[in-house]
Amino acid sequence: MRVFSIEIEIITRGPMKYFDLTSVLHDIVSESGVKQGIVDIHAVGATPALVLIESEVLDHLDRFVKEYIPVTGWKHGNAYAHLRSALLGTHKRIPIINGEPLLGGNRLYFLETRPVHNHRRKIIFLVRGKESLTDENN
Amino acid sequence: MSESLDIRIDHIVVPTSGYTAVNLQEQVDEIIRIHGLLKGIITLYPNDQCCFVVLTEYEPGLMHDLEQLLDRIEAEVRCCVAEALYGKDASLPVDNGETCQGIFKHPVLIDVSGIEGEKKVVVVLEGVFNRD
Repeated sequence: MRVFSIEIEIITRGPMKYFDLTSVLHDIVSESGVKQGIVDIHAVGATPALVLIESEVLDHLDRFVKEYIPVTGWKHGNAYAHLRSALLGTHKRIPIINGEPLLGGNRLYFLETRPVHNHRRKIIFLVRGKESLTDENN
Repeated sequence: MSESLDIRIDHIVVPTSGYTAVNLQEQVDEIIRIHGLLKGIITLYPNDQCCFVVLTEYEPGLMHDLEQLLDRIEAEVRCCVAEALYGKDASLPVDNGETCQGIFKHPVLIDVSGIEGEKKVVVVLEGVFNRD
């Protein structure tokens, strides 16, 4: 069993901006050497989100989130950002088959819901599994 | 890094009024300490219906806002829809024996069951443990 972890940083560029992390995810899984296993991705912080979705419908999701959780009308100062983050989630778990994350046509996006520019956000990747497709004792 | 992994299961018991939000951070920290999880993942899964764990800031105003948001779901199906929408479980990364999710974010048990009493949250600890 192999365990591999890595932390990356995103520099934010304003509210509701989506960063496509799909190629980063592929690179990290490849670097880990894991052929069969699982990868957990955690976005650090209470206002970002991780989204697994087909790129063609990303705009629809964005509109839904903005309509369902508007910016104003809440008690807490930046409640909309926390509520959007809590709804979409800051954690994703994806199986690894034949050395590739099983995305099924989806892409992985990082989203910062607060209106912050040049803010450093951490994302933690935890990969574990077998390095070989055949060796059961690996 | 290549280390020996282990998995352990424990639980947290939380007394609730049946309609509340409870910050689980202290119990999570304690259970990580007891089991000696150094690096890995902790997953929280409430076993009772209409209970789920969200990762968010635990602040009274924000909890009120979350309640207001959930109130927009039709009352007859609110508890089930809310549970499905947010998902029952939540996971946090652990490094150096501590959860590392940022300063403000905490695991918060949301109970909209309407049933007063003890709620059980199953805790799965996975990773590298202290051998002492």
